[in-house]
Amino acid sequence: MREDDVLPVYRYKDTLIHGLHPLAALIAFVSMAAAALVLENPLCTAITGAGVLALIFQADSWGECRILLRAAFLVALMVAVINPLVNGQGEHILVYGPHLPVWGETNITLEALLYGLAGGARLFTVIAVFALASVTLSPDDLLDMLSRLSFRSSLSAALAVRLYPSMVLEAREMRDVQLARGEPLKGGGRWSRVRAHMPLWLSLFQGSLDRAASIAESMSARGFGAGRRGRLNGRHVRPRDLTVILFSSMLLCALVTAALKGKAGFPFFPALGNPLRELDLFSFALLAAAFPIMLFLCGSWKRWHWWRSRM
Amino acid sequence: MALVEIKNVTYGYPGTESPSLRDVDLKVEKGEFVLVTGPTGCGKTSLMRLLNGLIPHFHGGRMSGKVRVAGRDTLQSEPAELALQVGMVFQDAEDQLVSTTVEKEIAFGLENAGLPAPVIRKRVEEMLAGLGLSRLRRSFIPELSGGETQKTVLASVMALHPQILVLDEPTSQLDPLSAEDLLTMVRRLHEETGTTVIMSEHRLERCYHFATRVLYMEEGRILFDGPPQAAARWCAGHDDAFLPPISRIFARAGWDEIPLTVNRARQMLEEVSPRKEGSREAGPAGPVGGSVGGKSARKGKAWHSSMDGEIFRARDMWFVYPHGPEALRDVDLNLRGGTSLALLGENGAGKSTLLRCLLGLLRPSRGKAFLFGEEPAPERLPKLAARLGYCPQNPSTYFVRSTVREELLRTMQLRGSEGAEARRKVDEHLESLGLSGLADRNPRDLSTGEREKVVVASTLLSPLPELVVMDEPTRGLDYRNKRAVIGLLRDFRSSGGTVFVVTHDVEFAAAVADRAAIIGDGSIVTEGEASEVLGDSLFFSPQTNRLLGDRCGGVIREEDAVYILERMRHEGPA
Repeated sequence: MREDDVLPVYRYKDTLIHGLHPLAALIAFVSMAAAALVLENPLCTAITGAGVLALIFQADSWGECRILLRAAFLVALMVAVINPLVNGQGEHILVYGPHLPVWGETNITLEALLYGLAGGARLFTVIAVFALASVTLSPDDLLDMLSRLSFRSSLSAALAVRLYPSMVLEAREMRDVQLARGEPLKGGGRWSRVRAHMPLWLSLFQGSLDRAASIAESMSARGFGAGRRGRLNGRHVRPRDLTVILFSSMLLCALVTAALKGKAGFPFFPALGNPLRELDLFSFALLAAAFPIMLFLCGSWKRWHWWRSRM
Repeated sequence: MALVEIKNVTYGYPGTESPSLRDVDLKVEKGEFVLVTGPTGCGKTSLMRLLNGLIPHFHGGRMSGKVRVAGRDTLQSEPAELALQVGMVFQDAEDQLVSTTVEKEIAFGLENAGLPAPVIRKRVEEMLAGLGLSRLRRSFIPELSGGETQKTVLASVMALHPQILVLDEPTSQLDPLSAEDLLTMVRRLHEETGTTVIMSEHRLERCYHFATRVLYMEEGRILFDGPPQAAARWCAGHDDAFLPPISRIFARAGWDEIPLTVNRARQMLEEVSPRKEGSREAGPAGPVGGSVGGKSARKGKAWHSSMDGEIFRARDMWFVYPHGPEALRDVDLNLRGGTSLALLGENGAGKSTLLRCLLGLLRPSRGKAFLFGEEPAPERLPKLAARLGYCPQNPSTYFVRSTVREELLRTMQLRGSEGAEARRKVDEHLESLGLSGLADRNPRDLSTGEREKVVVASTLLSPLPELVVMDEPTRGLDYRNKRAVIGLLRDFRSSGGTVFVVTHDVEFAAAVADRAAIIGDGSIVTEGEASEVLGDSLFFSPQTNRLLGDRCGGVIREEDAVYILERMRHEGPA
């Protein structure tokens, strides 16, 4: 992690996505991730990926998501590069490779290359959705909503989000202090760096345990576990939430239907299919409508007060 | 019946032999403000934990005696049941919060108590407004300042409307202004709501005078229990480390009355020696008047024109964080060998950024930093291990070994010394500092004061470094430990060492520094002799100077003030 990275954790901002009811946000994020995972058609992948990136911008969360997007890009690139090297299927050979014993042909084909790129793009999109969800969906609101199902698991998740930045900051501080003390944490070989970092990681782990004990004590002192819990009034469901829930649910239904009917796939092999001909029109139409609607809601939320007050 | 009744309680933590509390008897009536003082490890925290049942329910251990709080026996009631009667604020605010936003955090205790939603909403709003937290309602808790975090804890505890508010060194991790703000808030809550307050605190100058009772503890026993004035007189004869600075200097100068506030102290001086208008003698450090202003004013100074013997130098240095404002703006600062410099300034003024640039942990956006004549970089720091000692703000970040001895041996190793000889030196060093008893303990298990002393001890191991850099070394230290650290630094200085200290603690800066600089909004706004800079300031000024500044300038050290007060006492009323 670089020094200037903003940690990818929830911070309230005055945007429509941050203001969504947790149920609406959850359904929207699940439907986006499902679209990226289920629909193999490159057109659908492109629309989903572009839509999610546009939403990250609309949520003013580029800074927070950057670190995860960078990691996602590297992973996607790896998938795109490795796939054509190990997958020799496809009719259009771009590079002839040697014949390896056991392995067989090592040719690089256009189909395998595009299949790798599409797979990488889908993976990137799923991670981008996760990044957007982690920075815009309040763990406390989620805890409120899910507390009736499993309060303790939701509390653990909220605590993890709350303590993650503290741990990262402590790790950075500890590294700086050890550097200033003269520990050779930088330079040298990889193994010597790992060895130099080892006591630091152990100490960080011990610090986390100490902090966990302190938090448990503080929770005890504030009545945790006394009996039946009350609840601060949760968020109201508003027209914008209903709109998002409606479109996201429809998209989810369309995705399930497409998957069940076998229309979600796309023929990459042996020869590339035509993305326009292979489209499942219903799910594509919903996908193509859902993102512009979401982006319109986000944009109008920022600009038109009249509209905002009614949404 | 008393609100709190502790009868003959003796308690020991699991795995320890000696008890932390011994034969404690205490009664607290409704509406009292009880201040608990005493050295680190005297049992203050254990006494606090006793009040809401954390001892013995959460910590376990052996306990005898009886504790009744608001009519309930704490042995029969779990801490969670006592939470509505006793609210507790711990030392480290960061380790008490469980939610991600302020609003939810305040609601946490109320939800645990199972209160109806409208009541929770009302109390959350009440606390947000009452403690000035409304604008932070949806703020992300890890991004709050220390003061805001501790205020959030206070709000979440007070939302339960407890009869008793227990605070265990609530300002130990805060800067002076945030500490002042929090203590003012506590005082207001006590006065306006009648809440009974029981607080342990080491910033005695800010709360001693408004307590209704002061307890002094030592080795698990309450040795004194009485009103503040009587407590001050008793402490003066027992251990003056637990008096506010202003009281301490009068006690040391042998005055009969020991004032608790600067105001009262001024009145006493007026009675003895009325101040003539316009009269202002030169104090031990000479006339008042710092070198205030921009670069041109500072560049005229001799130490700026010379490059000889410079340990570090910042030249026209700027630093801008990628997602933030300019943290440093055109900073010029240097430190010559054999001198000591204190850098003071508010939170966010740029102190830590400047320190990190000077150590090479951050690269200046413009300008240059030099450390031992070279541009610093993280890769070069291991080579400087023998020349540079660094004491961080949070001593826990220094410790990466499992015992104090191993920690010091690692320092020796980094400075190029190993084997039996190094081990002997470490043991001798610990012995000379009175830390032998801690040698085999895990540094993380020590108290804040002990940890700080171990860090300083590790830094000042022989062969001594040329430069010691300290970042907020007194945060969380009581006066006795602070005095020990000051002693170590003075010894180091007298052996020719150079000290650079970044601090909020004006009294500490006055005690150890020859020169002082104040940084504000990323720029050095003034620098010069410590007596000039600190003696000519209203807020960056020690209590001694606030008392004597208008009589004789530049009195910033306690020993000078004691000398002047002794003289005034002997000379008698004018």
